[in-house]
Amino acid sequence: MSLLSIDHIEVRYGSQDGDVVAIKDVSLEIKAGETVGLVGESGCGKSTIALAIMDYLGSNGRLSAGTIRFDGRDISRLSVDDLQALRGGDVAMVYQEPFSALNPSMRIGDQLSEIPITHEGVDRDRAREAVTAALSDVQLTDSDRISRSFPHQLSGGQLQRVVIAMTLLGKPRLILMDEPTTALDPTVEAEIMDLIAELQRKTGVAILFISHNLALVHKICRRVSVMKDGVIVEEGDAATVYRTPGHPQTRLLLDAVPSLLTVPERSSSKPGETVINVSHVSKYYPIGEGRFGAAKTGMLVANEDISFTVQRGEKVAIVGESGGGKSTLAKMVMGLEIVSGGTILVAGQNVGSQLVSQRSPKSLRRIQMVFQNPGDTLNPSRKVGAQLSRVVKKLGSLEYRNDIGARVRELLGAVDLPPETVDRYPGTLSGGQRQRIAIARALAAEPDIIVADEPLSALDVSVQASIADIFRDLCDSSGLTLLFISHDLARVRQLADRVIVMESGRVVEQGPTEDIFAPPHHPYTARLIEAVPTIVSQEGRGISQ
Amino acid sequence: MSSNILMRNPYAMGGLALILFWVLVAAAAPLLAPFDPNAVMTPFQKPGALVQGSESARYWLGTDQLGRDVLSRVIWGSRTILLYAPLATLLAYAVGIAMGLVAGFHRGWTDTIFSLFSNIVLSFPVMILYVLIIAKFGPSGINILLAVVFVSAPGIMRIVRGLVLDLREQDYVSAARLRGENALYIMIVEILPNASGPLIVDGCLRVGYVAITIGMLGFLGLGLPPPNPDWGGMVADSRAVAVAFPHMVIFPCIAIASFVLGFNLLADGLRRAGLDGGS
Repeated sequence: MSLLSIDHIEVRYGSQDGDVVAIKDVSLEIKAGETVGLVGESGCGKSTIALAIMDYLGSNGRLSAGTIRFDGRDISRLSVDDLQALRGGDVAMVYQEPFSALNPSMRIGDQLSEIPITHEGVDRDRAREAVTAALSDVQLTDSDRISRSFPHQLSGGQLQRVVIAMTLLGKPRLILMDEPTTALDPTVEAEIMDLIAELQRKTGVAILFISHNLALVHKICRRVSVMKDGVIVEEGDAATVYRTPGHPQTRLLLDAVPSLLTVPERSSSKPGETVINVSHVSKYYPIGEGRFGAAKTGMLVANEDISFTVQRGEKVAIVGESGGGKSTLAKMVMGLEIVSGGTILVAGQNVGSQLVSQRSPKSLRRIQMVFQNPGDTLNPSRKVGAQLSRVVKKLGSLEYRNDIGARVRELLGAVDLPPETVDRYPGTLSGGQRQRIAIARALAAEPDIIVADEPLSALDVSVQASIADIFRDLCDSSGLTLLFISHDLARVRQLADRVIVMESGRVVEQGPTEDIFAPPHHPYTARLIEAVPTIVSQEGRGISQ
Repeated sequence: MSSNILMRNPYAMGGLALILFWVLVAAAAPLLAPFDPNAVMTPFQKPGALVQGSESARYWLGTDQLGRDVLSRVIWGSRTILLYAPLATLLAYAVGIAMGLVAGFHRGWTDTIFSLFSNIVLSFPVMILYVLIIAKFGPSGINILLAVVFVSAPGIMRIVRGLVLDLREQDYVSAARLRGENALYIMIVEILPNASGPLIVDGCLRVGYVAITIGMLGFLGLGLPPPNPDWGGMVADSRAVAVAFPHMVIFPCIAIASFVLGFNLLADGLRRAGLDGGS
C-alpha cells in the first residue's frame, strides 16, 4: 500500500479577482521507502503540492477536490492534534532556505532538542544524546560546537545539514524536500545530495524531492513526475522518462540542463587587442568600524595578486565558490570598489583606483554590468521604459538620443521582449524577463565590454538556457566582450572561450575552456567539476543536447 | 493592487471617512457654525439650551464660561488643527528626509554628526523640549511649526537613514552609478520612491501625534494666541469649571480624539495593504 496517495486533487487560492486554480487534477503515489522527484519550472505548483500534503496552504488556499491520504488516513479530516503530530512527526519538510527554517535566536542544540522532547517526551539529557547522534548522521562531526552555535554562525551547507538532522529527529516516514540545495554552492549541493541519498538508503525514509533541475533529481530518484501549470504532464521511471521524454515540457527541461559531456561548437574567435588587463590586483577590507578613530582590528583579504587579460570579442568566465572574491573583482573592474594594490587597465586606461564617480562618461560607456539578483536589478518604482530611456539619454550616442523611444524598443527586441514591456513595472515581470531588461539596460550604453556577475544563478534552469543564448548571440554578432562570473561549470563550458578559476581570492588556474576541462585538473577545479549534476543514461552517454 | 486592499479594509475606510469629515467641516466652517466662534453670548449654557429671545435656535453643544458657542468653536477649531498638523508634519518630513538621505547615502562624517544630533534631540523628553522652545520664542503659529520640525525631524531622519542604508546596496543603485548619475539623482529618483511606503504609513501616524501635540501645547497655554479657537486651548480655558460643566471639555476632546483616530486607522490600513514594505 502507498504511504502517501494523492488522488485527483485540485488546489485553489482565493484572490480578489476570483479563485485561481494552482493545482489541477494531480495524482501521485509514494510507497514506503521510495524517492520520487517532482520537477517543473518555478510557479508550476510543485511547492503547492508539498504545502497541500502538510495541510498548510495558508488562509486563502484550500483543497477544492480530491483527497490526500497518508498511511490510509485522509489528511483533510484529521483533528488539529493529529495534524500537529503528523507534521514534524511522520511527515517532515526541508525548505530551500535553511536559514529561515531555523530560529535565529536559539542555539542549534536547543532547537533540535525540542523535537524529541515534544514528540517523544524524553528528558533533556536523552534529547541531547539524540541530537548528537542526528548531527553525526548528517556528517556534522563537530557536534558540540554546532550545538552551541546560533544559526548565523554556520554556513549554508552546515545549516541545511542541521535542518535535515532536525527532520530526522522526528523519525519521519516521509520527507518533503522543496529545492533543498538551490540556495547552496554547487560543491556543497553535491555533498548534500550525496548525504540525502545515503540517509535514504540507511533509514529507508520516503522522499518527495522537488526541484527545477532534472539532473539533480536524476541523482537520487527512481521515479519522476514533471509538472507544468499545475498539471502533471509526465510521470514514470526516471531512466525511461529521461531517455524517451514524452511531453514537450520534459524535453524542454532536459534540454535546458547544460552538460559537461558535450563540447559546444565554438565560433573561432579571432583574438583582438587586450581590452581588460588586470595586473597583480589585491583588495583588503579593514575589519572593524573605524568610526571616531576606533582601531581597525585587522584586514580581510578579498583578492590577492590577481592577474589576467581579456581580449576583444572574448567570452571569459571567472569560476569559483561563493566567498571566493569573484564579485569583489568585478566591482573593482567596474569602479564600484577601488583596488588596494595593482592596476586594472580597461582599453589602456588605468581605472583600478578610480571610482565610477571619477570616471569619464566615455569610460563609463565602454563597460557596463549585469547583476545577479533579478529581484533588485531594476528600480521597482519606475517603469521599464523610463529606466531604459534614462541610459540612452545619459550614455547613448547622438543618433539614438534623437529618437529614444525607437532605441528602447530596439533594445527590448535585442533581448526578445515585446515593445509593450516599456509600460510594465518590474514587479509584474518574471525573473527571466527582468534579467533580460537588465541586459538591455547594459546594452543601452553601447558598451564594448559587459561584466556579468552570476547573471543566471537566480533563474530557473530552462530560463538560464535562454538568457545564456542571448549573451552568446550578442557576443557573436556584435563583437561584444563578455567577462562573466559563474559557479555553474557546465554553463561555463557551453559559453566561455576562456576560464579563470578562483579560490579564496586567488587565481588557481586559467586558460582556454577546453584545457581547463581536460585532465589533468587542478585539485580545486576537479572538485568544482565533480559537483556538476549531469544526466547520464544507462548507456553512459550524455543525453542532453 | 494595494489600493484595492485598502478599499476593502473597513478600518482604513473608517479612518479616511473621519479625516474627510473634518476636512469638510473645516472647509465649510463659515456655513456650518451657527455663531461667531468668538462672540460672547450667554455663559454656562448646557448643550441644547435655547438661545435667549429665540424660539428655535439652540446652543447645540452649550456655551463656555465666557458665553461662546462650543459647537462653533469646535467647528472653527478644526481649521487650526487641519492647517497646522499636516503642515508641521510635512515640514518635519522635508527636513527629516533630506537629513536621512544624506546621512544614509554618504555615510561618513555627515552621518556621524546627523546621528549624534538626532540622538541628543531624541533623548530629551518631548514635552519639555516643546515647552522650552515655545517659552523661549513665544507662542505663535510659526513657532509651533518650527518646534514640531525640530522635535520630529530627527526621528524621521532615523527611519529614512535606515531605509537608505538598505536601498543604497541594491543593484539598481549600482546600475545608476555605473551610468554616471550624480548623488542627488540617485537619492531622489532611485532611492526615495522605494522608501516611500513605510514613510507614508509613518507620516499618517505622525500627523495624529502632531495633532495631539498641538492640542497639548494649547492645553499648556503655549498654543495659538487667543481668541483663535483651538481644541487644546478650549480644554485649557474651561478646565477650572470642567467638573460642573463637562460639556465644555468633552466636545473638544472628542474632536481631537476622532481626528487622531482617523489618521491612526488610515495608517493601520496602509500598513495592512503592505505599504510599509512588509509582506
